[in-house]
Order: sequence, then structure tokens, then C-alpha cells
Amino acid sequence: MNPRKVRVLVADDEAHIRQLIHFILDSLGAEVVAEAADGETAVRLYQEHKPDMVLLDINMPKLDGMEALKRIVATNNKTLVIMLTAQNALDVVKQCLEHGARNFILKSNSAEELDKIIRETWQEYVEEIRGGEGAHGM
Amino acid sequence: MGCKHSNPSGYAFCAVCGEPLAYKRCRCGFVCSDRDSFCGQCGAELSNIDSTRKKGSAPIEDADHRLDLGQLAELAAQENQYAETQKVRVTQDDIRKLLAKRKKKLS
Repeated sequence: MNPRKVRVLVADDEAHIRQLIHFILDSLGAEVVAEAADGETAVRLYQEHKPDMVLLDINMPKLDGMEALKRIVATNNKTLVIMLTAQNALDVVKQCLEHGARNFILKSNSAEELDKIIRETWQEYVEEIRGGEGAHGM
Repeated sequence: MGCKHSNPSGYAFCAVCGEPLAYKRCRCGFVCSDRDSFCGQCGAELSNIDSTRKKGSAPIEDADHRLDLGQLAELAAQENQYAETQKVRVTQDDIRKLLAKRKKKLS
């Protein structure tokens, strides 16, 4: 039996980044259930789709990723949120981890490096999601 | 008294007289005017972010008010402290190490 697909929400205001992430996640066998171009939509789509994993940018219009992270974690603290951002300040990384993000990927990496990092990160968490029946017991 | 120059959003000091202006710093690091409701860079709401203006003091542009040396020193120290934390940039490797350290600490 094939393992169930891990459901992912991608939130980034840059369409080409969403496209790249979508492409990488597709190749990993994930199901991108929704995409958001701002933090407010990300929170709404999170509540609507209840994905297993959220890839979240920080600098987004309407609601920044840090605030969106807090709202998502407040809804379900088991949700696997991975920050994907150009912000590489140590205090921002620490703040995100404090607020419940599980990992932090820098967009400044090249597309090849991003692909590699996302695959590594995926391997690290996918079994945990499947093993734990996902954040919402799907 | 302030020179009443209308400074653009994001200015911490008056561009004409150099007087410190009340401002809010967004979580993303962008400096916004005290009167801004949303960050001009990332769009985050600023209503829950305190302005740098001291409680009880009049708005700089509305009163005959100048920050004293102590207040200026405190403001400068806050700015330096913030700048220091902002200066520390990390690479993906640094993040890996940080995560491994946290994991070790938690286990």
C-alpha cells in the first residue's frame, strides 16, 4: 500500500518561489493543498485545509509570516511549520524557533541548494508526520 | 522646539533639524513612523508595537520638547543593541548547528 500523501501549504508572496517549492514538493510525492501570497490568506487556508506541513515566508503583505506562524501554532501546536525566508538575522531565526517553527530555510540559497535542503528537511519530518497520523489525524 | 519639517515615514531623526522623531520598529526590522498603522515594508500591523516615545512626554512635533542627554543616550543604546542583534547573520549551516543544539538540549 502506498503511504498517504503529506499535505502541504505553501505561503510566499513571490510567485516564482511558490512555483519552485511546488515543483520540488511534487517530485517528493507531497500534495500541495493550497498556496498563499500573504499571511492573512495563509492562516485562512491553513484553517480550511489543515495541512500536515506549512512552508512559510516571513516578509509577506497583510500579515507577516511571524504573526501567521503564531496563529497557526496557536490553532495546532503540532503543525510542522518550516520558515522559508530571505531574512537571515540570527534573532529572527531564534524568534521563529521560539514561536514554534521547526526549521528555517534560507531563500538566499541557490535553486539547487534549496532543492537539496528541502529534500533533507522533508526526509527529516515525513516519517514523523506519517507516523503521528499527521497534525490533524488524517 | 521642533522645526515642523514633515519627515517621510521611516525617518528616526528629522532630516532638517536632526531632532529624534518618535517611531516604531516593525518586527521585520523596518523603521516606521509613529503614526503608521502598517509597516511600509512587510505590511504587518503596527498597532501592538510601542512607539519609542516616552510615556507621558508630548509628541515631539507638537510640543516644546527636546530629549535630554540621558534619553538620547538610552535611545542610542537601544538602537545599538538592536543593530548588534541585526548584524549577526546566519548561513544554512549555522541554522543546522543551531537546530542540532536545540534538539540536543531538548532531549
